[in-house]
Amino acid sequence: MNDDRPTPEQMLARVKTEGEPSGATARRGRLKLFFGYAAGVGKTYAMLQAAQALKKEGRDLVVGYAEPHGRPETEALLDGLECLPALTVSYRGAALREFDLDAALARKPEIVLVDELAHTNAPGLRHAKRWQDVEELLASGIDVYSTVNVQHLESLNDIVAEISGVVVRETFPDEVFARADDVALIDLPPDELLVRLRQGKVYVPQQAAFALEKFFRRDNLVALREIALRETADRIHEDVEVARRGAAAKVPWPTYERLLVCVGSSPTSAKVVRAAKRLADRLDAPWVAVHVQTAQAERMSDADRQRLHQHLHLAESLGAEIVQISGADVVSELLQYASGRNVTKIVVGKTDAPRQWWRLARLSLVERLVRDSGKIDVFVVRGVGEPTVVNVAADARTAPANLRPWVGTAVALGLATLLSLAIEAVGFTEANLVMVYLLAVVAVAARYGAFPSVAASLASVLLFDVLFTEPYYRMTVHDTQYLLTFAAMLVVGLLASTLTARVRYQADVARRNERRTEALYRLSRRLTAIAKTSELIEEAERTVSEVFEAHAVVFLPDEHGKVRPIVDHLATFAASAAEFTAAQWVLDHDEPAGRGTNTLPSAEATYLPMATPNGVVGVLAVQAENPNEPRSPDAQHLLDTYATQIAFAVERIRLSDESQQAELRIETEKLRSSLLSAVSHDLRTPLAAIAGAASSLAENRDSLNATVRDELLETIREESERLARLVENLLHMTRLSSGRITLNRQWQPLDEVIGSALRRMERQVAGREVRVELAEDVPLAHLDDVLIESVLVNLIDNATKYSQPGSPLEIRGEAISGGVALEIADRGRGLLPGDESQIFEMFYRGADAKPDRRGTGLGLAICQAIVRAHGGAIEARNRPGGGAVVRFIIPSGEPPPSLDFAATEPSRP
Amino acid sequence: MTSSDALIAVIEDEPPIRRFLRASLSVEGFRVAEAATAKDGLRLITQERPALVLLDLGLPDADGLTIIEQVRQWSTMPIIILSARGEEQSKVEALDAGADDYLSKPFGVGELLARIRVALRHAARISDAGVETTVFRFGRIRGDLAERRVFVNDEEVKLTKLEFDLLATLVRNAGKVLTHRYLLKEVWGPYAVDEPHYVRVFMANLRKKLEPDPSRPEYLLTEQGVGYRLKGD
Repeated sequence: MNDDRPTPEQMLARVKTEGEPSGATARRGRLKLFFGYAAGVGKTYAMLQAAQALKKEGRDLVVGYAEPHGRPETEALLDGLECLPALTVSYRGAALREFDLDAALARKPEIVLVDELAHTNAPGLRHAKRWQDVEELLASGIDVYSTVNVQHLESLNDIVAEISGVVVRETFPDEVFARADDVALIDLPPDELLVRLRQGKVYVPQQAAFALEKFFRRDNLVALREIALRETADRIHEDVEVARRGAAAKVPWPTYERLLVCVGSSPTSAKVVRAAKRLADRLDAPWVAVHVQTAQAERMSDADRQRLHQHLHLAESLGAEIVQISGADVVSELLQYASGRNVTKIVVGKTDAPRQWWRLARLSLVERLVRDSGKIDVFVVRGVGEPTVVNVAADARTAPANLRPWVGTAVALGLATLLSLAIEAVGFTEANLVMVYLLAVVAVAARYGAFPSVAASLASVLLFDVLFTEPYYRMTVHDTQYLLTFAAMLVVGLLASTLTARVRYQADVARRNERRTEALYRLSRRLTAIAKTSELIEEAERTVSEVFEAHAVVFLPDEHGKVRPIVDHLATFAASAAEFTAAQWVLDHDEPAGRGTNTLPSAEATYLPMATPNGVVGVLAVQAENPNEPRSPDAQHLLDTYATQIAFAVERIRLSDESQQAELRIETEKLRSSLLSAVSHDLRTPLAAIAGAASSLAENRDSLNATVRDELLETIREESERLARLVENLLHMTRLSSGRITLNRQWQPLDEVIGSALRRMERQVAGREVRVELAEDVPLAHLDDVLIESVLVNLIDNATKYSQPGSPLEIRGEAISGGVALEIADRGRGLLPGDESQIFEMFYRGADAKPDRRGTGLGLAICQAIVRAHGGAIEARNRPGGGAVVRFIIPSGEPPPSLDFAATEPSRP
Repeated sequence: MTSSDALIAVIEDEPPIRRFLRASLSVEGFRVAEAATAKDGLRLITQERPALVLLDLGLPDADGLTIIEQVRQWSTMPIIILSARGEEQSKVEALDAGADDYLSKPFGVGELLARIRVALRHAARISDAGVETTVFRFGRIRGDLAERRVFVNDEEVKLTKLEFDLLATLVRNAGKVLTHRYLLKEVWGPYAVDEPHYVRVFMANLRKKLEPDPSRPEYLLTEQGVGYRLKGD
């Protein structure tokens, strides 16, 4: 892994810094941060000053939100600047002033000023945090100026808390800070700040007043100032790095490092995560937050589980890749994973808590990790417990006492006792009795787990003591050697139960993972097989609903880019307008929203973007059946995977539809051009004949004898009829191929359509014997008479064209199962090899086509199109004795109507 | 038997067709009045009261159908529509709206004059009702509507009641096209109009009994997609 190619992360980072997003997406706005170490250093002031300067340059600038803090010199700076009115939100009786994001987006100036980047928005606003508002502004191409203090940086949060003793709740991700295009450090020596404070020039929020004394101590301020300066210096260092890498890609880069941090449910874990983040930043290394699930995890309380999820979320929000592995032993699993991922450093926390007594003999996790880590560096961070916000939904999930294990245990012991009594009666030694009890204990352990097995061990000891050792029926032991027996029984019971519990847990984990993986595999397989979007969405929704025990709805954009559910859902969340808003937001911003996220958290469902490299194709909405149960990070990741799977499937169908459309267009285009050339030839020939004959008649009126005149007139008539047929064919063809035609199918006797076709072709078949064979039992056929007549006309025309004048024609109709079959047979030269397969293709004129051959080759193609439109088939072959026969089948689809009406005498009107 | 100086109105927007119609009709002794639009056509019909109207269904300013409907409000004058092959549905609509017959473009002079004669004859019979004869004959087939008897080559043919009713309806309108709907209504009653296969099956039976070669009928002709016509004259 130590090659010098840029990693994807590095490339991505560079792309972002260069501010030129790939593709046609709009330019992202630039973020300038005014960064200070404490309130009162003059960030807002500096920002407004910069704004005034820009205003003078004539830039389009709007103050989105500014805390004037009641200082006149700051307020004076607002003079002449356009200010957006603040949004007033009432929350629990108080009126809160908030930044109006939508107003800013609607106004769309060049630059918006938004004070206090780390601010937490009032509930009910679109985003939970103001930095998200800013992100949205930037995403829509608006530049933003904002202010922030060092203690609000997520990764510095606990350091600051440690120094100042004040826990800062309002934080923002380091990512935002790192991505800021400009950071202006606003510095003021601590002594001056303290002077300003005493003069009342520093605004301190009411609720934080009690912390004032604690916070604005000189040593505190010096420490904070140092952190702020250091952060800024780090940024500058990074800028230099980027410049260097950009300039010469071949310059050796720092060795490739990868960090791993162990995450657990312990309250100290959050600090360890932040420490790892800082270390990773310093090393410019990617980092992984790993949680190892063990058998104990199964017994984890809800509060612990929720804390674990919070820690993993924290790590993710700080830029870590999060991974959950399950196994029996934390240390060996960690190390195995670490070596698999080329991890160079492991960060792990240690606790100050005294070690539990039963662990005294064993090495702690940290000790073992250090001992076994080999080449990997291990960083041990002292963890400090911090209050985590845990809101377990009324921890009333204490399962109803399950009596079955205890009944089972009692039964096992009863059986063991009976057997022992029997064995003793036979005269076996006590050692055998011990074995019988041991067997019972192991059986209980294997079947019912730890507690019943411990109980069983104790009970066996008691039973053995009371029933089989002297003095009988008393709980005393005379012979001390039995104490060893008792101890052995207890230990065996405990060991057996621990081992089985572990095995069972791992089997459970494996089973659950397998189930999900299998579901995913199944889904992806099914999705590949589906060719219709609506069916695909239905399948996807069903699978996601089953796997995640949730209602799932997929939204896709319509042609106007507005989301709508594809499958109709009755009375679910998908019907409400607020939910649509959330789905629309996700589609537009390619970021999750809704319940459990920081955007529109009041929505009923969680909305995930279904994204492919080509963009967001839709939104997957998931509403858990039990909304109080937070989704675990691995479930969340799996859900993301599902969303991606579905996205690719949707995209695949869209692309294949598009390519089909394109193919169709090309086909149509090809058809059109060959049609044009064929038609122009076929139109020209009869037109030339008509025009020639007519002009000859007009100019030589007197010199022509009667025979010649009649011939010319006959030519005009014949050729016009040919033209008329050609036009009819073209008309049918265009209607059929454009799909505009709807068959007017009716039940009718075959002889009628044959008769009318023959009448139309009367002149062509003149002088030939035409035999029509129609069996008596031929049922009514279900067909469009005009179109089928056209088929017959074309076939008869063809037969006369390819056979000698005067040779016979045959037309046969017969009943076949489910319809009728018709045949037109001639005694002409028949088909040439190769004709059978191609003869029905458009513009095919036979294997020996000569340019002077009459006809477009359209006739048989039309016959095929018409017959296929009826759901039938057409084929041509040579017949014994010479000649060709064309046979086509018209299926009825349904049984012919009854003719019972013949019996009933209808009333005359 | 045709009133040779009868006035025929030609409402058609294509000059070549008008020219061809004018030439062919005046040779036969008809007087011809022409209009190129529906508006002019309607005016022509109301002012000149022609003996017959030749009406193109595809006029530039209005659907020919509306002209038929308007004329039928006050007159039974014969209207023959001119329409292209492939537009069977609009022909049926026009016929059901009251047009008397149709000609598919392209058509020959023979066909044109035959239609006109049949239409004029029908109009004459309607105007002096009661003269209708009950005896008919076409080719080898003859019969008497009043006696309900039919003979082929002087041999009596047994027809069912419905077959005879169907034949009688065709005979009374000899030479004129009759739509499936019209025949169903006339023979089976108003409730059968959506069962067009009734007519087809009975027509097939009738052909088997009357025509020498039922699959190549000489008299009971199919107008594909429209209806039937008993070959007149």
